[in-house]
Amino acid sequence: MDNETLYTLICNLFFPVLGLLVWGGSWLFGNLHQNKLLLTLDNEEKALVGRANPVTNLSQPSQARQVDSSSLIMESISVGPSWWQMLMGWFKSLFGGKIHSYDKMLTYGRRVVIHRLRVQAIQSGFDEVINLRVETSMISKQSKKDDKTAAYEFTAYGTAIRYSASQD
Amino acid sequence: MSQGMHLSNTETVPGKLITGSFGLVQGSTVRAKNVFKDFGAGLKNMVGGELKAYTELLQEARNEALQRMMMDAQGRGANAIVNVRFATSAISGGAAELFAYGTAVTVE
Repeated sequence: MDNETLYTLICNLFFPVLGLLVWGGSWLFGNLHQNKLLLTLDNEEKALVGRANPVTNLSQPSQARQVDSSSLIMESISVGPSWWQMLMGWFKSLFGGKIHSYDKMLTYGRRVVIHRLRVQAIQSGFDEVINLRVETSMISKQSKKDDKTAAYEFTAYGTAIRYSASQD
Repeated sequence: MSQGMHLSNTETVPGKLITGSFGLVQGSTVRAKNVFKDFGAGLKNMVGGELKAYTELLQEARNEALQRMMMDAQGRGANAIVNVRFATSAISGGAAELFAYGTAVTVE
């Protein structure tokens, strides 16, 4: 008799507690993880502030100098919001209006992809990157109802230019 | 990435003169996510952030599309591709199509 009530109690509590753990964990660890990513990116971007390596979306080289070589370079990244952010997004979409929860990861993805493009250009010895294009695409549709995966892909590409050393 | 083939997403190859045009060239590939990576990514989604499995998969696929485009251009006797554009589209069932296109030209 006593055992039975305990059993039903556990059965009734199992799913609410599990749900609480999963969503709470997603909120806590998601925030910690994403803040760490943003901090790392901030520091990396600050380290490049003084470097003369502009990334622009001009279609012509910005300096009227002889171009030595050029190449197409590209970078891409897939990012996803956390389950908690998706839940908040869904909740907010009932009433409409601004959805803040998706902002964090989408902004991060776009910033990081441009940053990496710049790093790649510097490492390969290019002077500047022109005609930058950034594309966003959703790569994971929620085909099933219980599919909890959502990912956005950002691709940045542009033409990297190396000017010849001699002025003419 | 390219062996002797000039690629650029501007209208011209900077610093070079275009001498001939061979029309539009393109390359595409369709990739599906695999079940295990998908599961891993689903778990990674709990905290959000970068999903490395997808990043690698799509980079690989984009390189393949680019290679196919360059093969197309090489077959026509071009040595450069200008105005390269990429397009990605999600096909239902978790597959993605990656598409690269541009104009094949010869530069001196």
